[in-house]
Amino acid sequence: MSHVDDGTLHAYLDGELSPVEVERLETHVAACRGCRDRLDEERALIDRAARLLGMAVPPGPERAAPPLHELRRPPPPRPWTWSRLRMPLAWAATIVAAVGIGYFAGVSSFSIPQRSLARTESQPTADVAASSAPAAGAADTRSPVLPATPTDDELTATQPLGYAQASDRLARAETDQQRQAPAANAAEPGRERDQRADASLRPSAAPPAALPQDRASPTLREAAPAAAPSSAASGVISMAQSTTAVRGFRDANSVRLSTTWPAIAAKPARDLLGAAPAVIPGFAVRSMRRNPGVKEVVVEQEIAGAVVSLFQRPLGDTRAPEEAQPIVIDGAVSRDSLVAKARRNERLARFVGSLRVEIAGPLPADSLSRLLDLVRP
Amino acid sequence: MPEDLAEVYKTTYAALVRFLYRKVWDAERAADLAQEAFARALVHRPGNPRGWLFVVAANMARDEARRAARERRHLTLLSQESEPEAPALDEAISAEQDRTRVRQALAALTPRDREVLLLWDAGQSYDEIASQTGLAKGAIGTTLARARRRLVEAYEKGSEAEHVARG
Repeated sequence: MSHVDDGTLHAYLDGELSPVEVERLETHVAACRGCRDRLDEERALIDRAARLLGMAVPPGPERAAPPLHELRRPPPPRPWTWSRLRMPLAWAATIVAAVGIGYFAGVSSFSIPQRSLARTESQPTADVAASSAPAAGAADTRSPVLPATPTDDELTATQPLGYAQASDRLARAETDQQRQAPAANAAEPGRERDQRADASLRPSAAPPAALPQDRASPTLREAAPAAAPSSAASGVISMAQSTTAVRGFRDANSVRLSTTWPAIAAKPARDLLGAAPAVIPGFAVRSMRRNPGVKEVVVEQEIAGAVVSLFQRPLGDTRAPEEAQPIVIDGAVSRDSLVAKARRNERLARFVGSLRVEIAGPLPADSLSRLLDLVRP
Repeated sequence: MPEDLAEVYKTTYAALVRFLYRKVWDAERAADLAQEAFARALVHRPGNPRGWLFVVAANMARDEARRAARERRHLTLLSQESEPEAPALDEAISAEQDRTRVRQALAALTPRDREVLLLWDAGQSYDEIASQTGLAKGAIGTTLARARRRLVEAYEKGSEAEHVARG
């Protein structure tokens, strides 16, 4: 018999030869030294190739194979069991909760003045009663009825006036929500009160001086909400406010409507601030804008696809940027929330050279905080 | 009588994943494709599920490779800005290097040789390989002998080149 070819050797070693072929091969190999050696070589080669392929396996632990029946498409209905229900129920509960929260958030943000007024009127709490309720009565007789304006429309309409109002309102909405939370299960009476308040509201432009009671904060001069039976559908209480209080209200993460501010070039910005605007080095400056009211500049920089705003104003300028803007504020905001907000605000503001720089952007607070550390004059 | 698919699933699933992994080089994708192949088998109920599965899997891997080729440009762009590699243990790094070398060695084979080798390594018999690839059964041994030799040679050549480059 002729020598054995490689293919047959491999087939033999792979156990793929028929018994007849096996016998023939083994007879030959027994007598042929060369083929015996080759047989050993090919065996080593097969081992080696198998080991190499063994290294080409998915890294890490193998993903467990799902039961075969789960691969069926569409998946066959499984028996209804409690364990199967639990997930959907949990989801349903989550959705209900989300919708519920959304509803209350919506209600409270669209009817902030009304709700707080309703509170003042029908369910005075200690702090509210101390500062607002008597004034409400007083305002009753002296405040002229202004044209009724829906709150949300009003919000939109006043946007160009300044970010302070809007951000203030956000802060206020938040506060209001917090205060409303314990009363959430009393939603029905609350709504009734709202309707009553809607009917009884009248907007008031009462000046701060008209307020004898201001125990909530020595620096916060609140105008009391004016409430009186009236046909006005709804209203907003406008009032002026002192610097400290405003700063407390401004949440660094809240939206500041600086996009409506006029753009400003680097040189005028420097002149305005008395120093070169601070930036986060290494990131492109998208735009610079100035506060139309006061000495404040916002530098917008693009960082990882997000636009981060650096609000900055001269250290010597004691006036807060909001001072020039009329402030709309809820009549009964607790002092604690102001303090808390002020603290939060401080955390995301920093003095850089002769500027006070505040950071805002669609990033987590710790990211913003780290970015703020990078700001250089 | 057709083989019980559940039995084939038990005995062949892991091999099919490995077979696919050596084609797509993505563990998750390989498992997905293997499951997809079995899902199709559940619908089609082939007479010879094992052979059928490998044919289907090979086709899916080929489609996958075409798609990957189309996306390669995009992936190249992505890899340029990819995140820095997570610190890995030496062992993991070495295993990854081995995988890469074997992958390159397999790429040095002709498609037919590679297919036959991978099918054999996935546990297919010469008969099955022959029917799936259209080769004569008598040619399988020869093809495997050539494929194994080339794989080992290409692997060692790649390692040598690496050592030279390093040294």
